[in-house]
Amino acid sequence: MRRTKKAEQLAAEKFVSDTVARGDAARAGEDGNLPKGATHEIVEEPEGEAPKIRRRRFRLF
Amino acid sequence: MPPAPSSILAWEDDPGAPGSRRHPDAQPRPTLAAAPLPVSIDAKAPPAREFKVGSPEFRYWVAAEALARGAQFWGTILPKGTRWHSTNGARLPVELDEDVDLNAYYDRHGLHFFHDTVKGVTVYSGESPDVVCHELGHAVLDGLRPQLWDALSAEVAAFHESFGDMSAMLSGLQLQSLREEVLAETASRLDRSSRLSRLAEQLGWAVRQGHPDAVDRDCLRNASNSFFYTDPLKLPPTAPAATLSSEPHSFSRVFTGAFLNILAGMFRLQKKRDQAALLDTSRDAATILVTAIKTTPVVPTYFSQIATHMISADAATFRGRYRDALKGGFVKHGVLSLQAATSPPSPAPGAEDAPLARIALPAAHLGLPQELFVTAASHPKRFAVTGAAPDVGGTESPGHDDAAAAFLEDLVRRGEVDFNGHAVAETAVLAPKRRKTHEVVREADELVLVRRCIDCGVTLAP
Ligand SMILES: [Zn+2]
Repeated sequence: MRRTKKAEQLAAEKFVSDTVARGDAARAGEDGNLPKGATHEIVEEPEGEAPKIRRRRFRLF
Repeated sequence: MPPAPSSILAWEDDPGAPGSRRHPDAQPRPTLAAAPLPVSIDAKAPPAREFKVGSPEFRYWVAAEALARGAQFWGTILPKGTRWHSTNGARLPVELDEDVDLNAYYDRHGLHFFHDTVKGVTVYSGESPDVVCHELGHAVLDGLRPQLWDALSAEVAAFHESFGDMSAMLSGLQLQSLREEVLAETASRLDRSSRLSRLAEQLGWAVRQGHPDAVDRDCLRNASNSFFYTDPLKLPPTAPAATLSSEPHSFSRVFTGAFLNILAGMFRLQKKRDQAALLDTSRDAATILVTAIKTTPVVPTYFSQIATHMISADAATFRGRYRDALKGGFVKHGVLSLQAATSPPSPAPGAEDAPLARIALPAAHLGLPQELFVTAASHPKRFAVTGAAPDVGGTESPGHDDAAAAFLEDLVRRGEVDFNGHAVAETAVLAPKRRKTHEVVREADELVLVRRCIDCGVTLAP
């Protein structure tokens, strides 16, 4: 179990960091919408930690 | 006299890049409200007539035909009772031209298409059946396996994109005219680049004008590719289209490439290699895919798990008829390592089952004169397989040895290991606990850790 948890954690950390690095994660605007192209909403930005993101949509490319 | 059946005009797969001189085909008026996957376009339907290319009415019927074709196809393949994700409502809402963008989206509240003008050409993403069936694929997969929606995993996100592209290919193959064209274009070798493999040529052209390295040279993404699996943990977040990155659309091309090879291999196995056989092939491939998706656990190494479940689904549904085609496609793209593909898929054991393979761990710090062989803890993957490593063998799941080493250290710390005199007394931690759960035994030249009993006092057979 420990092995899988670690694998999941590594995959998740890399996924979040890559998504943010590409600009695919963004805070929602006042209207609740994401900027063009973003797939994930940044829902929390804890200090000194990676942001928490959640998927809002899939896109064509 | 009864009224003549109304027909509309529609593209088969895509309008094509400017200058491609494609002609739309006449199709019967599509039915969007049909069960089990009804669709609702957020616009008044124009009369069902053959409208001029470029008119809004023409675009409406192109999108409607593609939506109806894709929904009807998947509706016959999915398990009974599969519906759209509930937040979409009973009918999947579709917005045909929402705003300016060279993209399209699925957001659990429907499908959204856009337009933009590039070098004097206005491109509507909803006018491409490839794009429409890609987005529809996201919605289909979300209805089938909602757990994939928010998994923080490059492989899971990439599989969603790949499913969109596979949906575009398979939906295209439901048209006899496209099947005939593809067979002619590829000389019946479906793994060649063709109308089937090239997704969204027009939109790909439009994106390429502003960002030449963002898309493939001849379309948005070409399934006829040679991308080889690399652990996405080791890939950069972005890369030019010619190379692989962990970005889901980029990484999806590994799986889609394997799928095109598989389709080609499955088609080669048909007795008569004609358009009717290609239709059967597309349905069988979709059945294998959907069966696997239903049972594959959501894990970081999702590609290799889906692949193994597809081989298993073929064995159960088609008595292994397509096994070699599946293995060939997956091995060629490294989705399965050669070892994983050549050993029969066997379910990975649960905690109470037989142990996994032995791992050699350094054991000098435990006072042992040589390395110690242990068995890894059970894990929730149903099949113990991995994707290929680029050199030889399979990729290691992250943390594999770490977890086993930590497990061993915990046992020793808790004084649960009987070293049976194999340890050097000066350096070993020889706890005086009465009942030991594990012991070190010599097997030939190796020292092996074996379980003696569980910690509740019940002694197990060796
Ligand atoms: Zn997509």
